Amino acid sequence: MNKLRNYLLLGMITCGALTFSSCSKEDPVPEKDQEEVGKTSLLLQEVAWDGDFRTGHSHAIDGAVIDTIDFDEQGNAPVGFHLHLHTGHSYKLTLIARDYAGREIQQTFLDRADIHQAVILGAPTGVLDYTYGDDQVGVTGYLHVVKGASTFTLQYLMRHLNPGVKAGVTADDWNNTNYQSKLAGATDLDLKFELHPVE
Amino acid sequence: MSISKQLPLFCLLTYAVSVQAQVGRGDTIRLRDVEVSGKMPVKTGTATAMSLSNEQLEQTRGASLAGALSVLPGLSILKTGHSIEKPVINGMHSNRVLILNNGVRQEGQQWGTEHAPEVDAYVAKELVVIKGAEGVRYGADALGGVILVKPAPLSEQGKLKGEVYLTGATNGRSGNVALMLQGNVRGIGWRAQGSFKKAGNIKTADYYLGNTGVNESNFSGALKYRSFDLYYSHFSTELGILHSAHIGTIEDIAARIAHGRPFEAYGFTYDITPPRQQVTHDLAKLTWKTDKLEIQYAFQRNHRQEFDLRRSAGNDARAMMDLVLSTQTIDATYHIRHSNYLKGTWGLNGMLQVNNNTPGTGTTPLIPNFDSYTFGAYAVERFVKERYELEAGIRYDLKYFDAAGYRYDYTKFNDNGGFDLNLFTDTRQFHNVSGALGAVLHLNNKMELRSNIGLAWRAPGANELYSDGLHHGAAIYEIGNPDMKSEQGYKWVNSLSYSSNKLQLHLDIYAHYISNYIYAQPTPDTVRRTVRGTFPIFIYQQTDAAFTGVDFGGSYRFLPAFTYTANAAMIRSREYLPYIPADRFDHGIQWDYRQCYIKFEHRYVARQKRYKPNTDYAAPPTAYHLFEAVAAVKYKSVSISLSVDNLTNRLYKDYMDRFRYYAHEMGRNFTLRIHYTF
Repeated sequence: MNKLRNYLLLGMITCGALTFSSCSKEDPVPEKDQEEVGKTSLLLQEVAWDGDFRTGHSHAIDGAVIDTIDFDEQGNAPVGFHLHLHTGHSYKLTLIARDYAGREIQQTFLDRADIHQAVILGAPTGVLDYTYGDDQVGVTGYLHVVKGASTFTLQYLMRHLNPGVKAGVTADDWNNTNYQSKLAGATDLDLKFELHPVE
Repeated sequence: MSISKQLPLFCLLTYAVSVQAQVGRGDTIRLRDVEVSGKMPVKTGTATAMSLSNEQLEQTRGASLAGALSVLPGLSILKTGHSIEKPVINGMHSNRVLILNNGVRQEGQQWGTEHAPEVDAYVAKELVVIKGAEGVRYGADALGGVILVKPAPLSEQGKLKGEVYLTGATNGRSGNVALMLQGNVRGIGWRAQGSFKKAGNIKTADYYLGNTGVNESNFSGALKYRSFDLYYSHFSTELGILHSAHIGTIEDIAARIAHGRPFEAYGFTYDITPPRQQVTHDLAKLTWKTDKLEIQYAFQRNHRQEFDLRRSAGNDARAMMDLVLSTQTIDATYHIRHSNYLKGTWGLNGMLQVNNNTPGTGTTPLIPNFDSYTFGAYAVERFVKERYELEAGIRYDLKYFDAAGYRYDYTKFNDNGGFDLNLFTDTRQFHNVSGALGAVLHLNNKMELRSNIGLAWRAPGANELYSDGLHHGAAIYEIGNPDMKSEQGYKWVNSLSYSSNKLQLHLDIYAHYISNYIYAQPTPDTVRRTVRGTFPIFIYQQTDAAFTGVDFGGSYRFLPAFTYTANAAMIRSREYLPYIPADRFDHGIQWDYRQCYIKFEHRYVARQKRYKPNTDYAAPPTAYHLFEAVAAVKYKSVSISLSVDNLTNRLYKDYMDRFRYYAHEMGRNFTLRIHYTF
């Protein structure tokens, strides 16, 4: 029995020593990061609007220029950027977001429409209206300039909603300043630029 | 009422003896079972130690390890919501508290405050807490203390024995089942044990906390043959993280704090959805033990997966963090007897850890892959006389750390409009000499004075060294420091205990100095602005910290059937540090009648006033009172108890809950426990 005991002990120590000397970490693998957001842009192009701002629809205007706003690493528009939009006009507002590798990812917001919705803040009361152009997400939408105002900072927030929250949110919440409570969750995008509605 | 209720230095041993006697031919007189109770000191040298009594152990069945230990003076809980609880010893937690799970140092991802220890509390037949800085005997990380989770010894007899625990609670509609069988076949002792838990959303006094369910299943097996012990345990849990905790930006945090409770309304469900954690922990050990020499090899594998709400469809089933930590330890202990009074314990410890991130998470890991090699050697000598004991120990540890991972450069876009991902590698080496001195003076057969001063240390963890990114699970931006030094803690604990038939008293007075104390400082005035918004920053910092404190426990049987018990704990730090427990006072009165008892308890937790404005997102919550009651009855082999926590259904917050900013604690909860032994 003593022999058996010694063999077992020897085996135990050998196993321990071997495993101790044969394990090391794996080389780290760079991830294709799906959560990081890289360079982001907003595109504005004038459209013709038919109907009211909730149920109406748009028509493209031939030759309408596209204003592109490229945001920096902190979500700010270029220094000195100042956009003029005209009262009584409507503009198609389109989001282009890229991942760490520069690939467009805005479709991922639409794929999960149940937990995403954009809010647009900063405009004085009654100056702007907005119509979601997709499944109440805001990757595509229409910005309506209702009346003139002095320059303000427009904030585009793509909210990442907690489970069950979207069911209690409507299209009328497009500019809800209580978004932290009404659209409870986190923020996926926080973009800011100066807007001046002019006659 | 157990007379050992407030006796931290003793555990209660209970066993039943059946006696049969034959009187005359064919006449059998069966005597009733005789229950003999005894007390045995917790054998931890000169360090101050305490353990849960059998009654306390029974009354905390179904609770987490931290929850069970919190009935002891000086022990509290660091919570992340209701489902994640970590034990706190005199203000120390996580990497500063060492857990020995059946003799093996528990190695999970304990660096995270939202990572609960992966220990099945049903395994324990004895839970012991050593409050000293026991770095000499147990190695690195034992700065705050050591928790010993001890199963019952394996059966020496062939008779099959077993236990069944059934626990049900109203809040969370939770159910626990635990089974244990043990016996001995041809000299081989064996035990098989398993436990299962299911709980749904818990409710505060006013509202449900969404996504706070837990599913847990654990099992273990043990074999003993002569000098050999073989043990294996598997722990598996899936737990939800409060939906309302899924926030990120400063604006969201400010709005939630102002509101003081979740914006979302949820009902009851057992469903667990992201954010959630799924953790398995396997532990296997083989021990060879004689009177003089003990050799133990252990292997642990900790697999932690954390899931969060993703942007992409169908990806919620993929973990955002997927870590596999493998740990191998080998320990050799030699007991030497120099003379009748002088005994020594010499030992060697080796530990190898390999941490790997499982590729394919679609997120850049917060923690790098790493190897960690630790070697330690120690000697403890103990001089024991009838009236006093003296102890001295010394230890040397060496740790080598080799890490590699990727880190984003968030400062500028690259040519593609994304961020560069850069490889970083680093090696660090830490070494330390620890020491301990202790003495016990037996003043008389009722009173004992104990003093122990110990030096313990710990090397900084991978997160404290290398974090630099968004911790998706916690929605905070963490920044580590690769140049961090190791912590060194000096803890001096003085204890006075008195024990008579009617009166039990225990007093601990301690002073704890930690040089290079590492802590994550929330910086409300400093934020990280990203394209995803503005995030709070937690920066790992070091300072020299000093703590002093008093723990008191006592019980007095003022009438034959009535006993009053009281516990109190106070801790003071030289300067403000986050998550130091507030003053606490528990007391209760118990009425015993034969094998039944009824107990009422009151707990007062003061407001944490040692708080520096503008160093946290919100001031500590107000003080609170809680009332609890329990009624228990024992009949033969069956024990039944009914308890109610938060009797008045108070809506309250606790400073030690990391979700206190935006959620309250659990409301009233009735728990029924049934324990059957055979």
